[in-house]
Amino acid sequence: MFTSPHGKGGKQDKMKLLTHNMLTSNIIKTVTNGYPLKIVPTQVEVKTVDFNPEFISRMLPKIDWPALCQAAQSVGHGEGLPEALTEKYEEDEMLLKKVHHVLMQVEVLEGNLVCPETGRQFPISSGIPNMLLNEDEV
Amino acid sequence: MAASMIDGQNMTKLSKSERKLRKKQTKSQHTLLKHDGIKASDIPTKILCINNAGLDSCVSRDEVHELFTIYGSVEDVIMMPQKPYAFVCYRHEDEAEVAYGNLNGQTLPENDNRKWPVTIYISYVSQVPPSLSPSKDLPPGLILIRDFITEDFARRLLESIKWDEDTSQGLQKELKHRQVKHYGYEFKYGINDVDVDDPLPQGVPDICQELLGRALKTGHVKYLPDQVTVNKYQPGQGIPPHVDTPAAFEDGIMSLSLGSQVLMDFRHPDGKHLSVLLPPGSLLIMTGESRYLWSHGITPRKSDILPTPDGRLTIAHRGTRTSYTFRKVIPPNDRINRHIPFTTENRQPNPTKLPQSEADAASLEQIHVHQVYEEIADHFSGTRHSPWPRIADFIRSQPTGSILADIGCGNGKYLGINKDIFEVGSDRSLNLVKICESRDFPVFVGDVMSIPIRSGVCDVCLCIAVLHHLSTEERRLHGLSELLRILRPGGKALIYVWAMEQELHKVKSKYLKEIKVTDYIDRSTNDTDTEVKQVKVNDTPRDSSEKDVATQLNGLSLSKGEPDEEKTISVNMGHSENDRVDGQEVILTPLSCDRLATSDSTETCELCVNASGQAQGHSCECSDRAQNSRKMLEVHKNRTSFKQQDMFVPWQLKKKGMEEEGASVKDKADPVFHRYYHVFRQGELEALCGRLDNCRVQDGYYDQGNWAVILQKL
Repeated sequence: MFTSPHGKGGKQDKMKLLTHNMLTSNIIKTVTNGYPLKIVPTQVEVKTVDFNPEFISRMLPKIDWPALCQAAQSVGHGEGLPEALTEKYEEDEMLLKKVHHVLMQVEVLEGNLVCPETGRQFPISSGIPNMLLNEDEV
Repeated sequence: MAASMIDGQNMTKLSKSERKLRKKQTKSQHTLLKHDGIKASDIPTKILCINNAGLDSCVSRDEVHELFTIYGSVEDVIMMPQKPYAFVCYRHEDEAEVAYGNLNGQTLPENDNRKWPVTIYISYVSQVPPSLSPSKDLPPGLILIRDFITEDFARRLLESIKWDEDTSQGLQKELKHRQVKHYGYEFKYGINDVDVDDPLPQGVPDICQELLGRALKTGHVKYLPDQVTVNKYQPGQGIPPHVDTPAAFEDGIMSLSLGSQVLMDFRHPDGKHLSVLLPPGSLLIMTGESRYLWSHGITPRKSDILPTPDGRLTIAHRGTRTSYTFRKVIPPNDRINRHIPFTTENRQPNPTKLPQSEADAASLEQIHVHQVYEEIADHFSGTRHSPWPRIADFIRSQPTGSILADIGCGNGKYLGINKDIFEVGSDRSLNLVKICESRDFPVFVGDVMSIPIRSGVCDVCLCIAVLHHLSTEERRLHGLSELLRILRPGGKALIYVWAMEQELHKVKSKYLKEIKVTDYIDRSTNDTDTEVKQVKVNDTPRDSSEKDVATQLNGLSLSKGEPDEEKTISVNMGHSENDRVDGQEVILTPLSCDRLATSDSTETCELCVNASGQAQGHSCECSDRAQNSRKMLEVHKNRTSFKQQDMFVPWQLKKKGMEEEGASVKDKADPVFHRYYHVFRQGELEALCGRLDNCRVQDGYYDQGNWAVILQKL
């Protein structure tokens, strides 16, 4: 796995950790605990996205925080994230910037999302996670 | 005197009811024979067909089993999806005879499964439906070689599989219906393909080399396989119908059966169904039509019914069956511009029935929705540019920091409209999603039937032109419930579906009104004398700017010489007075009758004959009446009113670089793809939403030939 500071893929969106925060493998019929998906990256990029503090503070309550911390760690950007959110996070600009970075700027280009319960892998190729199920899993 | 009168009455009554029973029975046997290839026998057989005791009659397998066990040892009770009958297999004929004598005509009381009693009618059978028993014929291109390996070798082969060792490496997986192990390359079920750059450490096992050598010598297989999938099926397990990815593997796919016999179902897209018995030790080779066009699968069941040499039927229990599937992977470079035989392009979808089972529905959508979008993605995307105003307004009105999921985002034309919210798109088509990705939107590949998003996380959902591609009401309802699941309480979904009514309050939709000049010039073969004055080329919604097929303009009445204020070509609307005499309807009716006559439904055919006899220009009313049973799907004529709710809509593919070469295009036959649609009648979408109690329809409206609702999750 490697991280390229300015992705050569240009400004195109790859899998952001915000997208990852929404994804689950609970859709597999037998799976009840498919969240959060483990990220096994082989290529990660960081791109520059304009910082919008209002956007981030409104996004935060919708985020599953432990899942984000785990995801950030698995792509090598977990440093500096607190274990839990404080109450007045909207006033903590440092935190908002850090969250902005991991939610919006860190992107996974290649790798796998792995179901925590079954180990089923969902490939991420060119930044696109493929979450289609085999007919047997529906 | 009085007493004897009563006796006499009783006698008459009894024989009357007996007569009634016999009549009903004859009728029911006749129906079974006609519809499903079941033959009743005059002499007792150990296999009984119990009409009105099937799943479609709301009778459960347990209920049948319990009832018939009283009269002898029941080997198996076979229920078939969506059938009104069940098969009971006794060990001995005399047991079947006793059961027949005691239970024929018996009424089963109402219970938890059903609110009404059912009366069962029993027949001895000498022939069961093709899905339960081997067919006489094989699909074209299918080769079955019995005793291809010896029992001793089969044993060694089975012993050579180390099922339990490799779990950590992901080479072996427990799928819902079976155990699977791969060699050479892992077959990845999510993409239905292998990753050529990621070969497995273990290639094709050495033990297989000798048999593969012999297989090649048969001449039916041209390439030495480099990918092996081993499946282990326990009795009662199966595999859903599928076609091995045409682009991924060479022709000549082999399947070696070990351990137990099984009945494999082969289905042609036109509905033809053949069952092939695979004995242990046999090698099955799928080539040509049987490899590319017919799907194959195994119905999960514990036994099959086989004919005995003396012409009777006997039950064969399935044991544990292990199969080796041998395939040759096509390297990615060789896949480019490769012609795949029997692909969906130009494949006539007729006659296809409206799906009756979940498997049928999924298979129809796979072939006539998913595969088609995959193949037309580039061209399709090129015809979808500007967002629709009301949809764009809805997106713009969402507050900063909202999370919006566009389920079925296509080429992503609604992504990126509001920069203050987070918009993520998903589509079933990888190729369409790739187009989004190249345009800078966060996307993933996913299915509306199982949206891989955790519950309650979205503030807003878009689902534009998606639900009309689901082929049963239950599936449409399920799609809707998935959208609601991912919404938070109070969150909203905007849903658009294509409308049956392409003309509302005497205003025709853009879809009907407008036609592109190239469509007209290139494809008009009959109306050569019609002039094209001017044509508006509008960017209409996702499903309303279809290119039109060669046949589209045949027989259509173009408004030649009429005032043409709109400067658009007006096309046959199906409701005008003229089109009753322009021949179009007259052509359609006999066609649909032909198709129906070849199907096994007499009712539908009669209805159709009646309809054509009345000849009021509505050829397909009959299909509507038979909606839930055997409705045939017709191919819609683009730019005309819809004649039925379920149909195929043609898409004529323009290959890249051909758009500008007007004249030359005419000579080349562009491939035509058929997409399945269920268009919604007025109020239908709201009614569907009404079936879910966790939502409220906030707004409903008609927008250029589409029905739309804004739903709020409660």
